[in-house]
Amino acid sequence: MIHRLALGLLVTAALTTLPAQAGKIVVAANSSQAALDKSSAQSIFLGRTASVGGQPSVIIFQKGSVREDFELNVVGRSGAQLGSHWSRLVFTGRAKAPDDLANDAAVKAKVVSTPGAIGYISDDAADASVKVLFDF
Amino acid sequence: MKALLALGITAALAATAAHADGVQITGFGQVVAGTVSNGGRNPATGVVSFPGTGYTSEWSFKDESLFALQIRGDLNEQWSATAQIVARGREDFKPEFLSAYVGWNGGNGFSAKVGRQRSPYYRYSDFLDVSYAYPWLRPPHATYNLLSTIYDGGSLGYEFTTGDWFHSVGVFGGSQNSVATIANAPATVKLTSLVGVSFETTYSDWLTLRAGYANTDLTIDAAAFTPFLTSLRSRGFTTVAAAIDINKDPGTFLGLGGEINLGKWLLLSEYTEQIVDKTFSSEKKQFYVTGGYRIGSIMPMLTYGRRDADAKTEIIAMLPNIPALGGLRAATTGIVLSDALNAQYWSYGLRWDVAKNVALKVDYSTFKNKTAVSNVDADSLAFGVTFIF
Repeated sequence: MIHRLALGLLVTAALTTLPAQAGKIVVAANSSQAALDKSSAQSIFLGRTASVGGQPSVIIFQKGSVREDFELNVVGRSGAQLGSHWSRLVFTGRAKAPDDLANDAAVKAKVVSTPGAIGYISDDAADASVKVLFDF
Repeated sequence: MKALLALGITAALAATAAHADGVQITGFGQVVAGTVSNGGRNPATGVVSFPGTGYTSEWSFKDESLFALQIRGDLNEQWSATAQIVARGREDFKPEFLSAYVGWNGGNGFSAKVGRQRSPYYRYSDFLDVSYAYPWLRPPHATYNLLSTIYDGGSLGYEFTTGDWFHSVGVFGGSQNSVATIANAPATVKLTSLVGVSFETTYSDWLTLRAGYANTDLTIDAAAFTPFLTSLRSRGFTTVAAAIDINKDPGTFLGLGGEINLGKWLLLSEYTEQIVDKTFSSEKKQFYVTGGYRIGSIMPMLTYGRRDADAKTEIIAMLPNIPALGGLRAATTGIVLSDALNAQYWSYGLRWDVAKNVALKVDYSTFKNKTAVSNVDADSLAFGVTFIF
């Protein structure tokens, strides 16, 4: 009985935590960058792609609620693992520390004003100022 | 020096305020408390120690603690200047520049650095002091034991992708002078004509393979050995002295490593060889293997390491075995045999990511070295908070 109950709970938990379409990777609307697949998106946010839309890449992370879905669905690493990965790039001088902005609005503002900037926002935050490269 | 550092930082901060986009200040550090929890006593000197640490039988909050700042100024889109200032508890928190270089990012994966930088011998060489960036509290001493970790010179890097593989190739060259402690006495370590290459490749973000090779002319002037070498030379045994001393002698380093990172499981290993010809220094073969398993934000890990080296006993045979030379022969034997290794390490570690940029770490390590002249058995325990900002 207890086993069946536990199994039921597990199934329920699994169903309720199924990832929904939660966010979008965006650049400025006028960027020449083409749409991305998951592995090229991952490579950009792990600091392995030198340019975005022909400009030196400027990587933008954000602290908003979309962050967890981004970490899980795009980079496949926890926030701490991602922090550890970037600390290696920064303290070897291979990359500048990425921006870590507060929310969707701040990401959009930065993306629109900075050539080469790329970030992620929640689904409902996308508008005409940005170009969507990947849905996650 | 402290005033200079404060002045430099103030200037940098003022510059940041003025050009927020041009200057970036980041930092890292750790506060670690540790001790030699068992054994580790040298029968001759009575000194208690654990390899790779400065711990004694007392608890120390200072030995492995450190604070560091990195200041990077972008000169333009391609050029930047970076300085890394590290203050270690072991050196009374006296700040020193571990990096000070001008970097060039040429685009298309090409980059270069000129100035003081980390020597890329090991997988984790580039961020040796950034404990937050690796799983253990400290990198395994079985391989991470070279006296020299930085150099002054230049490096070229090239990063490229082939299919699902991401490659990174580097060549470097330069020289370095540093001070060290050998046999409880001061020593200077000098590397000249240092050149090396490194190659690292990552497949699909779960498999990483690495190889590094370097060679140099090495000079180690150790106060502990000077009287003995002087005595050998004064009695006419200059060839014996030359076979022992480390004086512009050719040193080579080879390192091979790999990592398998399957989300929950982590497997890491490095194998290294160190050879310094025409010296008493033994040919060292060493490795470690670490396995870890992530349970949410906690990762327990287990590390096994070994160091093996045969003493160059042929040097002892260069001295005639006659009673008049008994003392000299005994001293030579002592020095030559002291560099034999039959060492084994076991480390039990824990990393707990308590926040995005803070990790708590625990390390319990055991060390055994049994050779003709050594029978060491030591345990150490350490707890730390490591962070980046």
